[in-house]
Amino acid sequence: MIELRDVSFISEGRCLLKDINCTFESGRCYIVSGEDSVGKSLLTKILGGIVKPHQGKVLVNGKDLYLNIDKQRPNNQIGFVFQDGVFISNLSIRENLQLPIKYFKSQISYGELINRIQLLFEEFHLDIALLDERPSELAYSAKKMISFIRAILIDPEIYVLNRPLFNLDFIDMKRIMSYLVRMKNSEKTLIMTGNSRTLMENLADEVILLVNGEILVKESAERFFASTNPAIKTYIENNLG
Amino acid sequence: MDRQLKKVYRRTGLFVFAAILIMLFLVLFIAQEQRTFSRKFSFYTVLEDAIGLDKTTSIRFKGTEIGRVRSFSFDEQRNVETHFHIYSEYRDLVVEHSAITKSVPPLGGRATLDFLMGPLDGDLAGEHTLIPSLDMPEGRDLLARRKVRTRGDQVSSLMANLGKFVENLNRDDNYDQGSVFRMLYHLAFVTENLNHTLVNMNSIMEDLQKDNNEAHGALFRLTVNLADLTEEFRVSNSLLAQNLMNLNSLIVNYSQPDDILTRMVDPSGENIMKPLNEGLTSLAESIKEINEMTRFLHNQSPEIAILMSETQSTLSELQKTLQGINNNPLIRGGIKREELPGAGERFRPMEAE
Amino acid sequence: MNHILEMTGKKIYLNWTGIKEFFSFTFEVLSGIFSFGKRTQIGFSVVVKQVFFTGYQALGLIGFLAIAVGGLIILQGNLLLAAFGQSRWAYMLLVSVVIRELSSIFTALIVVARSGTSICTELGNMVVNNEIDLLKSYGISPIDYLVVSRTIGVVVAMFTLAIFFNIISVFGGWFFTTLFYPIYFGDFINNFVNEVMIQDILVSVVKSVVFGFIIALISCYNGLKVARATTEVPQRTIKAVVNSIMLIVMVNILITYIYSLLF
Repeated sequence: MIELRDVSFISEGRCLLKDINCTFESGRCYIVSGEDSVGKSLLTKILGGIVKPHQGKVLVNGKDLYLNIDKQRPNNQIGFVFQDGVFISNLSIRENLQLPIKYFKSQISYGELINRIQLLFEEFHLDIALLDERPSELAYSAKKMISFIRAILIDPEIYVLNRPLFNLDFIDMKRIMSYLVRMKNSEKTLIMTGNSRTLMENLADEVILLVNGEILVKESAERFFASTNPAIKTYIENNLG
Repeated sequence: MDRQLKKVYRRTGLFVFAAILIMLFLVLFIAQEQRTFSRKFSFYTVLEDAIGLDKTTSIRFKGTEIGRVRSFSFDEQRNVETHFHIYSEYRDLVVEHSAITKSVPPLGGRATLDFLMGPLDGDLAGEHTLIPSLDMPEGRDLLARRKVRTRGDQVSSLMANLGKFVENLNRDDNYDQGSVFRMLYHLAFVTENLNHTLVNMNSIMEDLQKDNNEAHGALFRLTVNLADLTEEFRVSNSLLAQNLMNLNSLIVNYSQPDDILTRMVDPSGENIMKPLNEGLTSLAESIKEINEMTRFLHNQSPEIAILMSETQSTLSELQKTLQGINNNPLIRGGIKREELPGAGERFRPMEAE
Repeated sequence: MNHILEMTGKKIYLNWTGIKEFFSFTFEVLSGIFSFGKRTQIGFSVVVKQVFFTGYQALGLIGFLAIAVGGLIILQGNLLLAAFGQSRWAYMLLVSVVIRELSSIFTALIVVARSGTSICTELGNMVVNNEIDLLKSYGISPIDYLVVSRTIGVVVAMFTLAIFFNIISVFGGWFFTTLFYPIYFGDFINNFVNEVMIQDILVSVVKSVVFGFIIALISCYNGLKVARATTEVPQRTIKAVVNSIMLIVMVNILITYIYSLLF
C-alpha cells in the first residue's frame, strides 16, 4: 500500500501539486489522467521516490519513503517505468539491466538473472543480441519494452508506470497490456498515467483525474465514464474520445 | 568481465601499484639517506647567529656528514641555541672538549657546521650537553688551549703556493737600485714562477673539479672552508696588487725612454725583447686557462671565482705592463686597452694603473 | 579594503543557500566515501574506470609536462643562479618549486581540464536525459553511485599522477642539467635527496589528494546542478573549471602556509 498525505510541490513560485491526499491499495490498478502539464509525471516521480515533495509525506506500507532515502531506500518495493525508456547511456543494455541487482548485492545469481532476462526477452519478442548494444542504438519501442522488462526483473510490489503504452505500435501495446493484466492478477499495485480509454476500461480499478495540480476525482472507470460532472465530461470528450 | 574491461583493470592496477611502489621506495630511500629512522644522539651548541643555517644543514667532520641540525631557538643572551643530532655510528667522535664552528660563504649562501673533535683519549660527551662553538668564548678557549685543531686542506696548499708567488714578487721589490737588467731578469723570473704557480693552481683546480664529480659536494665544503681563508687571501692579494702597482709605476717611469737607452741596453733585442715576448705568450696561455677554470668555478662557488678573478685582474695588469715594456722603446701605441673575456673587471679590488 | 570586505560579505550572503547546499553535498560525499567499501561492488568498477581515464590516459601528457617543467626549472635555475655562483640552489628550487608546489598544481590543472570538464558534462547530460532520475528510481543514490566513485577515482588518479610528475620532473631536471655540465645520475640524485625531505613528498601527496577531491566535488556538483536544458551543460562546465581552479589556488596557499608553520 502506498499513500500520499498532503503532498504539495512548488517550482519557481508555481504550485504544481497542491495538497494531494490519496491512497493506493495493494493489488489494485490506478490510472492517473489529466491534460498535459497538470503534474501527472511529477506525481509518478514523487510516488517512485525520485522527487521529494516540498510538503507532505509519501508512505509505503506505513513508512515514510523520503525519510533517510539516501541511506535505506526500498530498493525492490517500487518498479518505475519511464515514458521514453531511460537508460544509463554509457552502459550496455545488459549492464543496465544488471545495475540495480548488482548494486544491491541481490541474492539472485548471475546465471539466474541472465535466465530471467532471456525468458522475458522471448516473451516480448526481443532479440537477445540487443543485450550487448548501447541504449542509443536501440529503437524507441525496444527501449520502452526493455525498460518495462527492467522493472519486472526486480520483482517489486508496486509498479509506477509513466504512459506505458505511449507511442507503441499495436502489437507491442498488446504485449504490454497482457503483461499488465497478469501483474494485476498477481496482486501487484499498479499506478500508471495515460490518456487511453482502452487501458482505463480494461485495467483500471480506479481513475484519478488531475486538474491544475489537484485531484478532481478518484473513482472507478465505469463511474468515471458515466460521470455527469461537466469538467469530467469535457475532459473525456476532448481527450478520451 | 569482457576483454576490454580486463585490460582496463590490469593497466589501472599496474599504474596505481607502480606509483605506490615508487612512493614507498622514494620515502624509504630519503629516510635511509637522511637517517630518519636510525638512532640519533642529540647535542646543542650556541652560535652568534643562524645566518645560512636551516634544517638541512649538516654537521661535518673532516668533510663527512655526521649529523644534522634539528632546531634553533634564542637563549637568554639572545644567542642562537642550535640543537643538532649526531648519527649513531659517529657517536664516538663526540668526546669532551669538542667544538663546533660555523662557516658561511662571505657572499651569503648555506652554512656548514664543522665538528672539531676534542682529544682522542677524551671521555664521551653526554647526550643533550653543550658542544661549544668557536663563536663563543668557551669554544675559543678550547682552541687557545689547543684542545681542538682547525683544519688543513687543499686550499691551504693553494694558499701556500700563492704565498710563494707573493714572496717572489717581494723579492723583486728593489727597483730603487735602478738596474734595468736586474729588474727585467727578476720580472722574467717572476713570470716563470707565476706560470709555475698557475700550473699548480690549475692542477689543484682540476682535482677540485674531479672531486666535485666523484666525491659529490667536496667542492661545496671546500668553498665553505675557503671562506675562512678568504680574508687572509685578500690581504695577500692586496699585497700582490701593491707589488704590481710598484712594478707599474716603475714601468711608467720607464715608459718614456729614448731609443738610445734601448740601443744601449739591448741592441740586438735578444736580451730583453725575445724573453719578454716569450713571457707574454706563456702568460697569455695561463690567463686563458684561468679564464676557463673561472667560468666553471663561477658556476660552482662565488668565492673561488672572486679569488680567481682577482688573480686574473692582477695578471692582466701584469700582462699589460709587460706589453707596455715590449712596445715601449718604439712606443707603438703604448699599452693596449684590451679587456680580457671574463677577466673580472667587476671584482678588481683596486686600480693598478 | 572595507569595500572589498563589504562586497565579499554581500556575495556570501547572496549565495548563502548555494554555499549551504554545497557543504551538505560535500558532507554527503564524505560520508559516502567512508561507507564505500561495505556497500557496493559495482561502484568499484566505476572507480577503476575513472582512475583509468583520469590517471592512466593522462600519464603521457603529465610526463611531457613534468619533463618540461623539471628541465625548465633547472635551466632557468642554472642561468639565473650561476650568475651569483649559486648553481647548487637549483636542486633546492627543484624541490621547493616542483615537488612542493608545481607537481600538484600542474597535475590538478591537467585533471581539471580533462576529467573535471568531462565529469561535469557527463553528469549534466545524465540529468538532462533523466538518467539521474533512473538511478533514484532504482533506489540508488546518485551521490553514492556517481559522485563517490568518481571522487575516489579522481583522488587516486591525482595521487598517482602527482607521484609520477615528481619522479619524471626530477629525471627531466637531471637530463637538462647534463646539457650544462656532465653529472652522473647518482650524483644528481644524491644532491637532490640531500635537499628533499620526507615532508616535501608528503605535502605534495596531500595536496594532490585534496586537489583531486576538490576537482571531483566541484565538477560533480555543477554537473548535477544542471536542471533541464542541454545548453546549461557547457555553462556549468565553465563554472566548474573556474571554481575548481580558484579553490585549488586558495587551498594551495593554505596548505603551504600550514606546511610552513609545521616544518
